[in-house]
Amino acid sequence: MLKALCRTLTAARPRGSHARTLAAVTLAAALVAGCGSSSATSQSSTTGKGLGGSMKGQLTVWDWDDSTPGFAQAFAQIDKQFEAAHPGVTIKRVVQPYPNYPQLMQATFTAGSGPCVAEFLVGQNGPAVLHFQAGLVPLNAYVTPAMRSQLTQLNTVSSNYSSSGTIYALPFGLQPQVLYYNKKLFKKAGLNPGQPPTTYAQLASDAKALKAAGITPFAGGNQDGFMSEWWFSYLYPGFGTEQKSLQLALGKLALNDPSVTNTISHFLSLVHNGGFSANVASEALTPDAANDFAAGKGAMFVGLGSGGTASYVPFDQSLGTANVGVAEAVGETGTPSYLPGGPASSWGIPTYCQNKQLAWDYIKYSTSVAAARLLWEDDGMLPGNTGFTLPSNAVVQAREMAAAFRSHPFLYPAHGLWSASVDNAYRQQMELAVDGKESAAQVVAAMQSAASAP
Amino acid sequence: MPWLFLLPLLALMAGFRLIPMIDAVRLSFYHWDGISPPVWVGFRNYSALWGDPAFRDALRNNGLILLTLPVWVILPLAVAIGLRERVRGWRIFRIAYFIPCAISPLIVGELANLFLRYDGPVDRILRDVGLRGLAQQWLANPSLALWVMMAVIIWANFGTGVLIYLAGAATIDESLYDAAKIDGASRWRQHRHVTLPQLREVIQFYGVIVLIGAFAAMFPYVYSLTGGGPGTSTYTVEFDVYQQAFGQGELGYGSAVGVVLLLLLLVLVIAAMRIFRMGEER
Repeated sequence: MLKALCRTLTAARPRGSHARTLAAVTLAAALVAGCGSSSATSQSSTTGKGLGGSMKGQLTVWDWDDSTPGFAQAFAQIDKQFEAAHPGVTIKRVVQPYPNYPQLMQATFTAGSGPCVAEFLVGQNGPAVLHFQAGLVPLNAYVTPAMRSQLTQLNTVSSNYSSSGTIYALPFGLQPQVLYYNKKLFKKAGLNPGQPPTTYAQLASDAKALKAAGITPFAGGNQDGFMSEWWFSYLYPGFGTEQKSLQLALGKLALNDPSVTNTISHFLSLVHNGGFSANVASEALTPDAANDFAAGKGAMFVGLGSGGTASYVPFDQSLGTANVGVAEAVGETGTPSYLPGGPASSWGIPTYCQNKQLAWDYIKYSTSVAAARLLWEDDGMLPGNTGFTLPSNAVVQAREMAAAFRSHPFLYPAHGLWSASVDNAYRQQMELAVDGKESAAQVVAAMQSAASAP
Repeated sequence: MPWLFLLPLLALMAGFRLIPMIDAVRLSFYHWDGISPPVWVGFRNYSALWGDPAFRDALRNNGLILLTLPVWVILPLAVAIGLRERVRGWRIFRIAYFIPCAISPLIVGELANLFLRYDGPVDRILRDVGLRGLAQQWLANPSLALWVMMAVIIWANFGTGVLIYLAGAATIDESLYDAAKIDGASRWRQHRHVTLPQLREVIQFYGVIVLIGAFAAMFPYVYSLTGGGPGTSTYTVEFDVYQQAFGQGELGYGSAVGVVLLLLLLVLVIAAMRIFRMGEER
């Protein structure tokens, strides 16, 4: 009976409120019974030695506002179910503004007081796990072999990006960096909407054709430099490799490596050849540029695969599913060495947390197959837990991305892996470079200077 | 006994100003990420400052902001004198000038961003009046952004100056003007020989406030208007403190930037006070 229930939980399920209710009920039951993916929850309560703390009371969880009601909706359910499975426990969820999240987290670590569970980006840039690793509980002793095999890219939350390194968080979701394109506008420009660009040369020639047809090739906004980050990560697999991206992040690859300079100069070439609208330097990437693409004001947009204002979810709503194409990274000439994408986010436990055991149970639950299902159903988030497969009736873009990431090697976007200081220099200089005030070589020089600063 | 009345304030000042300030000086000699134990680095943070292009840009920008101080001080003075003359509709003008001061700097920043964006209302107005060539990306142009930002800040704050000057002008003895009139002094001479000397201390006070503000109250505007960009073209030293300490997690280095800012301000304020005193003695 229990096995059957567990199978029900892990089986693919169509979207819909009935399905969600059923999932919620069975999940709660499964949690209490301690089966399947959620069995780890109760298991850790009994076997997770050394974490300690009370298993009752309030557990404060911080995440950031990603502007999608679906994310909040999914976690409201996850919290509710966790509370049901842990009598006497209440989850206090605090949604913080994303732009200030690193500063707020920094303050909690300095003060030694704050949430017991916090959301972090993977990697070391921004509100990222490895940026705060000194203040996070190492989790190696508690991560089971099943979790190691099911959770996507544990190395991106581990010291030195090593699969044998110290694990500081549990990742969830899958966030590909992809190119969306407007099939209607492609058709209008005489391009084949069934053949999105696969090489840089095709990307550039498609842009040229679109421009000739009076269509802005790319929707974009680099006001804060974030567009340059996304484009770097999107193009880097065409000019670099997975290995080089990791070396770059660890400071073991010179920043003036041809893979870096080529990526930057090829992106700038698209900008300076009129690929973007005239306001590219003064517009914000999200929501402005994403909204432009959604409104048909640009034919292509480098965006995110999962959730948020820059994903297929709002694009499908405004342009119609049939008009939104999604393409993976382009190669310089052939196929790219890997696909840029990795966990959407992760959960970590600060060392100052008093109820570490309860926090561990919570993050394990939040990254389980059942939670992945809820995140898919409510938010359209692609699953980072390989125990959950998208249902066959899932929206086409999601299925295509999931299939591509199943069949190709992939690594978290390059800009998320390198250090915050290198990223800061990159974004600052790219604001000038996009405006034509600096060259790729000057951008790289500034990044080198930031990397070598004491 | 009087000390007892001062004690609560002194305790607050010590707790929230003095001790953190001393601690910031201490931290400036450490490398500290805010999480791991601080590591003593001596003067390395200070020596690194001079090679840091962001810090150099921030210093240069603060220097440029300093050059605009006469505008900060004189513009509201001129407006206040105009209002004192009871020009037609002066009450409406007084309210209109002060309204921006009652709006949060962050909201001012966001609104200005909306107005100044490429193809936003400012550009559209320019196009409509036949000045299409002037329309541009006001805050994304590195050679313009600082000046545009300053214009927004002056617009947002000069009402405070007007109000301070008006309050000062209200205390001027009317008989001084009557005497000047009897002596045949023109309006201009009345203001030159009565209003300005009588407002000398108010002008000095406001000048010092503006001087301090130019170094220590720009943050919300920089943060909301440009985020320091494009590049570091609108960085200020106080914005750099925030970026280093909380953006990069370099609390020791950020403290060193903060200490330099404090010293810089001290020197400038002392110099300004000396100049004012010399003027008084003369």
